[in-house]
Amino acid sequence: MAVTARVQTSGVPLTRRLLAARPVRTAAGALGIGLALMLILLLSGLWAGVQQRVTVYEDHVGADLVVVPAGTESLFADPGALPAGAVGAAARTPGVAAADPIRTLYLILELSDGKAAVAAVGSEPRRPGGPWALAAGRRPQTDDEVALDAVFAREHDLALGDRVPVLGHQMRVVALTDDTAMFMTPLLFTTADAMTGMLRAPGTTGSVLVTLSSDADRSAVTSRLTAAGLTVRTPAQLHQAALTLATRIYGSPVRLMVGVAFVAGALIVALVAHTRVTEQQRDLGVLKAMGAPPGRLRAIALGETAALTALGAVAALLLTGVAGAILAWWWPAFPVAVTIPALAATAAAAAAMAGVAAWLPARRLARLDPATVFRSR
Amino acid sequence: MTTGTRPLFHDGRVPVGRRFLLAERRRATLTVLGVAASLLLVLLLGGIFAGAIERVTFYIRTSGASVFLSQAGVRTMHMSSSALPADTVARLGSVRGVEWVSPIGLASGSVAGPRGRQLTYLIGYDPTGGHGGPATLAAGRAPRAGEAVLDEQAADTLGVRLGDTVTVLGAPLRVVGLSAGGSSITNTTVFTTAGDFARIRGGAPVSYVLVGAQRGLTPDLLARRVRAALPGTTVQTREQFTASEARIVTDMSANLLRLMSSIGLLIALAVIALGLMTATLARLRDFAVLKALGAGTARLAATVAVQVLWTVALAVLVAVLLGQLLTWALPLAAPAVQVRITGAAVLQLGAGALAVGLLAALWPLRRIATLDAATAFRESR
Repeated sequence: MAVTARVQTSGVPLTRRLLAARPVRTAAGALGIGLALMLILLLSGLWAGVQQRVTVYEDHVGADLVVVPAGTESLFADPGALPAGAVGAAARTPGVAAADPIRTLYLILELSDGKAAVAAVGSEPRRPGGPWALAAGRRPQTDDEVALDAVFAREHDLALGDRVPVLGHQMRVVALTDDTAMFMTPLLFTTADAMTGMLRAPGTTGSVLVTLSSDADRSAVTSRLTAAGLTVRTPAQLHQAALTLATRIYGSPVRLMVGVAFVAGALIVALVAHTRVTEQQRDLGVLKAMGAPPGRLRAIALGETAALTALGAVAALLLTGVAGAILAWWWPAFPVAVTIPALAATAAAAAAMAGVAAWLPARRLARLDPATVFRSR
Repeated sequence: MTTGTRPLFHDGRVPVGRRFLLAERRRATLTVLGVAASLLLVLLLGGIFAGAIERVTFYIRTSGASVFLSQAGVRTMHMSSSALPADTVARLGSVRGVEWVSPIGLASGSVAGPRGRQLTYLIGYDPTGGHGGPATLAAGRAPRAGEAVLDEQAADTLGVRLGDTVTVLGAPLRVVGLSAGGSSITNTTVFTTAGDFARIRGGAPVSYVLVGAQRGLTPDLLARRVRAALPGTTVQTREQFTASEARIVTDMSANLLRLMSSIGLLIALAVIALGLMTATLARLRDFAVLKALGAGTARLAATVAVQVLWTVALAVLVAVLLGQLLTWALPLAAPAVQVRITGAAVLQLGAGALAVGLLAALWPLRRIATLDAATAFRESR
């Protein structure tokens, strides 16, 4: 009776003792769970990073309003073309301080080490729309000059003064830019005239960046531009369009990957939990023989699984930190951003995994035969 | 002199490794499924990119052209811009061996219908020539002025039926035909007449020229002749153009694939190591009995290797089956995402999994190598 009472109280930290009894196996189990959670964290982090990086140009466009071709919502994905006269029409609109033409489009560069996609921008020298932060060199001024994202240049072993083929023209790299590593398509800057010439599109432009006078009312100017037959977007609308587009393209694969990673994680937690319960079957049989009720044994299984998952979550944080450092060194353009929502989602995934995975051993323990303890092994 | 037990181990009739693996079925199942899920992750990502390659190259592969012309320095269509000199088509007429010439205009933009909008390539071509348009029509007919052919998958997504009007690059066009195979994870394809293309884009730009070869003329020979006649352009055979197009996807995805494969295989390594380690530790006495009966370390190592082989083989099988299931099911949920699992990808994955499996077996092997046969005679653990 005294023994039964002892087992039924929660004074004995059984879960902790069981975990501490085989530290190597506990660490191995936590590491396995940590790897699975790291994968979820990395995928979530990648997704968050992608979302942050796909709008980097729209976030630095340096205009109050943007006049775009009819139907255009995204600067790079559906760029379209405007008659060159749209620049003058925008500039003459009351409340507009300046109107600057830009061209934005995706391009494939034929580099010596393979093909590389870039988001190309052609803007007027010393006007808005060009690079906003230089790591080295100066902004492009003539029609054979380009500025490259510094990370992209390093990846492809390109330096200031090198030549880069753009639409069949050998362009000289005169600047390396910072903060321009858009996901999969880093930014490349050149002059608007250079881009118009290379595209063989005289008399047209891509979009028009509109700077308002200090006392101008944005909505009034928008109305005037629209009344003149122009399509107007705010930088915030362009930001949202780029984000929506990225979600549409990458969203499904990322969700699928996270789903598979979750299943893999749940199976790893289940494997670890099941293995531990199997190993501890004799010890737990002793407890049952001493009078521990099935609920107590189930609680041990659940507690142990939860503790292992918690250890795995800590391991995941450490592993993600290490993986992030390795990625930053090996592939700086890979945008992993571990955000609070990503951490919360991973914690929720870990809890769900533990819940799913603990079910099997808990069920097994509930049916455990106390006679196990009397067998030789 | 041999003991009576030796032949038992040496003739290979007792599949000890497989029996050890399957003795604890739940653990074996969890191990195999855990590894399979990790491998599925690698397989799926590769499959998504393979599916993207198939779609990105679809128009080129099914165009029927032997040779493609593009702007000098431009070797691709996807995410590319090309503008050819206005006299290109006329100059091609004098090249010996040219059966037909079809100039097309290509622009990126969006197509909007009642249920939203989608990115699209707008291709302007001459429908009367019979080339440059959609390879086959699933429904309807080729476009005339003010009309368009839309990919059937995009039509379904956008809620568009034959006779409806869509907005393409800001211009209204009536849908009179539905094509197939022109939608990828990134965008779809709309075909219209060259006249409407020029109206929508402004001017009459020729982006690419498709060239058909006369019967009996090889694409390589025709490409050489075209190259000589139009030196300021890029001339590629269909095979070269297809390969160049595919390389956009492979080059862009290479780093991402390497990263995900590394993580997936690392997790597979952890699962196999975990499964093998616990399976070996749980059976240490059995291994000791085998050792006491005369089985050498090599023989015991072989049992571990067999467990790795079984685990990897079963996991690859499960991953491929699940992958095939997703290949079928995923387009139902996300029509834009195509997954294509190739034999080469499966072989590559199997080899990678086997390598990490054997790596994972090192710890149990070390444990067995140092195992004392006397363990077999101890009463309990």
